[in-house]
Amino acid sequence: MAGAIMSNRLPAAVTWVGFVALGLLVLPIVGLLQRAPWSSLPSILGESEVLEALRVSLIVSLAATAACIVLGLPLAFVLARRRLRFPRIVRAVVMLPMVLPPVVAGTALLFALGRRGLVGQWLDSWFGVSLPFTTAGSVVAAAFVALPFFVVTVEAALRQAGDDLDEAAATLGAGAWATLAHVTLPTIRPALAAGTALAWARALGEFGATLTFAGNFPGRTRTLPLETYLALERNPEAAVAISLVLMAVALAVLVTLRDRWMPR
Amino acid sequence: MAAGSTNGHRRPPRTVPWLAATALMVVATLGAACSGQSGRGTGDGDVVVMAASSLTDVVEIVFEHRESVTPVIAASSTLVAQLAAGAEADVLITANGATMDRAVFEGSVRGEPVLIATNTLVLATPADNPGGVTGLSDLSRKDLLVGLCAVEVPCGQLAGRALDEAGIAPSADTLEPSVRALASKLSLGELDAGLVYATDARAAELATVHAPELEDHLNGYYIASVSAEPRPEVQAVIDDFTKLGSSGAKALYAYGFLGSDRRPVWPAPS
Repeated sequence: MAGAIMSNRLPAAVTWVGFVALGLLVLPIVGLLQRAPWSSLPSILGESEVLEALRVSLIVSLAATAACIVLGLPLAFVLARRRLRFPRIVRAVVMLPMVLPPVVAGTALLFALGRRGLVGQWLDSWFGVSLPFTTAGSVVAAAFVALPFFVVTVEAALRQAGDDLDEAAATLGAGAWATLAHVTLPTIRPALAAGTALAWARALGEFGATLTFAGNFPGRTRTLPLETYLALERNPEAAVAISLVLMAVALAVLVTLRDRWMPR
Repeated sequence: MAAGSTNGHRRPPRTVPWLAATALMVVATLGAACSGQSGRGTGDGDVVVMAASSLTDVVEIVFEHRESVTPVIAASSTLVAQLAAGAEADVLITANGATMDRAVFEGSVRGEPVLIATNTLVLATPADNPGGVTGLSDLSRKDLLVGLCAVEVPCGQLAGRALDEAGIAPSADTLEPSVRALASKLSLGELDAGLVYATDARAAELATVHAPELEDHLNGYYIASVSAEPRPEVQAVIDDFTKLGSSGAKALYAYGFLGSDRRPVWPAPS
């Protein structure tokens, strides 16, 4: 991202502050690493509760990411290509979950999809479906907070790419679906990867909305962040160890994604 | 977004920014090391009171007219962990003896803990009792949405003991990190039944179902000064709770807490 900047024209102060910012990001990680119980790490991470939370976390974050792609891609197209009536308002609404405190997001989800919620009461009485306190509920909460990250990234790429190529394809006789699959999507592939990675990372770290909407039960809704939160009161060393796993998993995926699918 | 080109990429001069980043880290690390000791107060006439979440309403009433008091409300275990991590506070009020013991043991609290009230668990349901709960054994019904406090927080430990003794294996759907979170999910009607403190059931206007198995299980509320020699304004806040007929004692009574003369389940901190 920063590679395009001509560094010889960059004022020294900007470089300075930039590195101070980098320090701000790195420092807490260093803090975590220096407190890590390296010797007891294997035994802590081998505990069945931690493995169970890891399993729930992977299922929830991957399912939420899939939901973000399936729902977010059409939404990004609508935002980028459709003539909307109040585009600014719609775009602001899409971004709201990014600024909403997650606990409030969770409560809002309860009001909407809870057993006595606006829509939830009908889900319950018509289909017998109740989302709170289920893994599906955790997925909904994670998808709610992660969706904007995917949509905003992909929409920006769609706008940047423009629709000249799409029109050229249409002129050459390609149908709408064929254009989408063979022209538009390949053009924005880097943004698709970036959006997916961002949404997944957000879903993996999600805490407040999940806890408020889906509760906390081992093997069902207790994800790694919830396990970490509870472990912090019982055994801070375990909390640090679990956080290390979260970071390592996220770092590994983000680095892999970057190497494979994003041009440097 | 991420598709930047690499044309014209040249590295900036290296040493200066690295020095800056290193200096920042050194300063921050030193800062952390200096402020690492626990057991400090806040000073400046302000008083920070950490109180268990079941005391939310009581604390609000008692300190309504004391503007110099800043209440911090969370689960007792969270508060004790925060104190151990160096959070600044003057007074700690926990919802059981075990968490206060831990704070004393860890050296976060230097003052003498005093028992100010006791509380008991009740079997609570939403106001209309949608699950038709009739007794404690209903907590093992699979068709109900049952919530308990997590074992990490005092109300969860108390519930665990009570259920163990009654020989009931609960079929819980969620283990909430604070009694307030559990009470609010019950009052929203998202859960059918749960074990919360009598006082929280009252505050959240929940229905309660008679459960004699719970009556012998009390938890004690303890107050202590963080510093061994509390400032006068800190002592005044503690007196608000420990003195007979104080505003704290009245508020505790008004919200349905039991008197401190009933023997609590958890041993008093030594």
